[in-house]
Amino acid sequence: MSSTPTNSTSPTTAAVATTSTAATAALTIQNIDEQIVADYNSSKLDVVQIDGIVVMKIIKQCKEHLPELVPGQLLGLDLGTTLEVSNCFPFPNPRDSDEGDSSEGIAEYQLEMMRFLREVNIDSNTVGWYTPTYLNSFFNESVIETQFNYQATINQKCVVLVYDPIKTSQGTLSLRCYRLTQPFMALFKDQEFSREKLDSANLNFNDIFEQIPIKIHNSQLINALLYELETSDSMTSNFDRLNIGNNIYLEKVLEGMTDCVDSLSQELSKVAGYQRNFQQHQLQRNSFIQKKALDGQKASEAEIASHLAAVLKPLPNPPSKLTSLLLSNQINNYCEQIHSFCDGKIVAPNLNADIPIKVRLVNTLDTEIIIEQIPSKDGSFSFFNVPAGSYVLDVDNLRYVYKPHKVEVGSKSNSIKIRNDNNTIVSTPITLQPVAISNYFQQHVPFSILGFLSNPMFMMMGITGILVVVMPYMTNAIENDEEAKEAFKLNAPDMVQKVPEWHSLQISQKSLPSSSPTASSK
Amino acid sequence: MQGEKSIYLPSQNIIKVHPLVIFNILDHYIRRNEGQDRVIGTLLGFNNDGVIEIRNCFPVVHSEGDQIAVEMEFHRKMLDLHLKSSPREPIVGWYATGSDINENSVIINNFYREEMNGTPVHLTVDTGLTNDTMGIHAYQAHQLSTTSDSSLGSYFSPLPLEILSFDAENAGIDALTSNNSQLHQQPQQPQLQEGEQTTTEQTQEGEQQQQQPQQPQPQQSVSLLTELESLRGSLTKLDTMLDDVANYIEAVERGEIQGDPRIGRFLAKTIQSLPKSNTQVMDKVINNSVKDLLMIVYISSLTRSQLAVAEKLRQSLTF
Repeated sequence: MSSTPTNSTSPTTAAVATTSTAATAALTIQNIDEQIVADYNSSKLDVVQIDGIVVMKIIKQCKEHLPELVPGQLLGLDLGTTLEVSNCFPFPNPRDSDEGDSSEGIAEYQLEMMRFLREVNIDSNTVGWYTPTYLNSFFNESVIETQFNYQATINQKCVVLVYDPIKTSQGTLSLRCYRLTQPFMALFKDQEFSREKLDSANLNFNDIFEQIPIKIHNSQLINALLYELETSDSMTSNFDRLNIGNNIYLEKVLEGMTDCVDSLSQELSKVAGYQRNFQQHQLQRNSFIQKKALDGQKASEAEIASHLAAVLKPLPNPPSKLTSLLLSNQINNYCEQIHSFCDGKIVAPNLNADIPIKVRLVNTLDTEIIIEQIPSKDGSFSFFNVPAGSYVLDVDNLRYVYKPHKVEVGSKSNSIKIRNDNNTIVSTPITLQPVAISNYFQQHVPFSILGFLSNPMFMMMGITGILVVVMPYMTNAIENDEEAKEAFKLNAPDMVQKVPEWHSLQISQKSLPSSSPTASSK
Repeated sequence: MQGEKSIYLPSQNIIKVHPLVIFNILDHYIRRNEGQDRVIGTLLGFNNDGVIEIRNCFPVVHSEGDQIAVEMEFHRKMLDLHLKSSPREPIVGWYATGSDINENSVIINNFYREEMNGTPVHLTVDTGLTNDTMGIHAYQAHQLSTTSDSSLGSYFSPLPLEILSFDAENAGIDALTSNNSQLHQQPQQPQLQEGEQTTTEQTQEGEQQQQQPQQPQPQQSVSLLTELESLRGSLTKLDTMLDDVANYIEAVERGEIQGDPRIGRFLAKTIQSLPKSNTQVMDKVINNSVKDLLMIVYISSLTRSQLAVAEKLRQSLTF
């Protein structure tokens, strides 16, 4: 990856060569010219068609330079909405070249190479570049910058092919094709990644790169060769991917993901720190303005700035939103890799397919003793050499429920009794029929008012409500009915009459002192 | 100096060719100029004590007619460029398409001998597909001479050749072939076609070949397989192989085929090499690894949903 920044200057020079070749190659026929221009101008790209030779070359070059990751250039044609990649060549490994500044050397190398390849009728249009990566961890800024240069200066349809040597060595060719999306290109041009800009562009982390489907194309001759290789040789890596012990790959992906999450959280704390700083500045600024206002002066901007500079540290640049965006993208990418990797390992059981059935005998005394059997294809099963004891015959199936049978095996041979759940003895070749489909999910009860009513709280409330309404009528009925009143009076001793009423008591108390002075006056 | 190597002592060199080289040669042949019969190019690789590994190659412009002309300048420049990107691959020989070696080959061979200061390997690839095979052969030329300075001619002795590829290349080839399901029926037809044409009308065939790369054949381009599909492919293949072995053993047991003791020994060895495993332990191990996988899938799903939530939060904050 270290070489990518140095390559970033090369596409500009290579672009000159491309346009010149396009000019010479363009036939004089007007409509072909127009077609080429139209193809060049439209940015629609549906599929990338790669020749088998490119795949092999990339694999070979990458293998050769490991552990160094050396990128290279893709050559091909841009036809309508497809991009044909028909050849490629690697950039020189910066480690091997002795010259100090290699960026010019690489550009020259590219030009020379393309010139010579053109002489042997190889498409010499640059259509992008390839880079090997480990675990697809390529969403970094230098890759984006290089890709931006390609797309901005050469052709909008330039793509980057990403090849993963680790995954490939496990037997599955891992080759993906990406290019930057149009909105992101516009954004990257301005080099502006503040929050506001990104928000206004409404850019999701998924919108940085778009993945383009890859198709592999071979000429007939190469197909013939492949056919020969396949039939004559046993050099297939078909079984590498059956290796169970390749958890290392998963481990590495997880590690990468954890690292990414870590750096994302660091990025978050940076943003938080910036926000704190910013708030402090605002606070200081406001208090300064207020102080000035109290003194009856107006604070000028320059004064505020000088005051702030004296009191606080200068505000750092806001952290780039791009970093967190890229990190999110990378994390998402890791997740996808994990899912695609695990897809091959875990397959959700298909409930409609044949579900394995197990028949088992469980000893009732010692539940550790279990004899299990998988019925044969026609569904028959038979147990041999069952030790004496009583057992429960059970069927273990995900979908259907069977009735258990009791099996008693005596110590003598031929003394086997099988009872069904009604405790009746059945003869030995028994047939088990499913009685129900097992239900794993409880139906969610929908909301209903009636359901509320059955709630005890509501019942209590309702009864008290009824009482409140009905009670007055009940008492009224007693009061209005004379007979009942009489009966009530008769039945109940007249307690009320015997107790003096409160106000009469009061009067009698009042009358006492008033009477005494009269008495004395008498 | 070549005279000292007599033809009675053929060198014991073994040639190992990477598939990429053949790919390159065929590509070059497809892209040859109109009316050109054969193409030549330089082979790159290294000589490792008699085992010559051919790892790369590049095309060279040449013309054959009354006079033979090889563009030396082109060759040297190209070699320089290739050495820049992969310095550990010096020149080991040259290739040509077609099955025969003619007088021109001798001249070109002499040129390469001077270039590399050694005996060049000559690789021929029969693009005409005579006998329905891609005849890939390697030769090394020896000078026939009676004295050390005079030369009677050259003798091209064939060398043992095998196609060598490493894991990643295998995977690549696999990806190229396995999804080409029609590959099994189709090649017969073009093979015959091209074979006939080369023998009868060379020029016409050349024209047709020239047009071929320009017409994309939709049925020929296939997309890459997903992990699950390729896994299914592997399992099916394993299954058929096991079936084959079982059928073979049954046939031997029934006495239909004379059993080959070597195969028997090999099978016995293979079965012995399997570790004896307890079913319960096996179950436990597999269950554990499935649990691990589920955990990882869960974590990655969780991370994904976190990302989605963060994204939604951001969106709702802006509007």
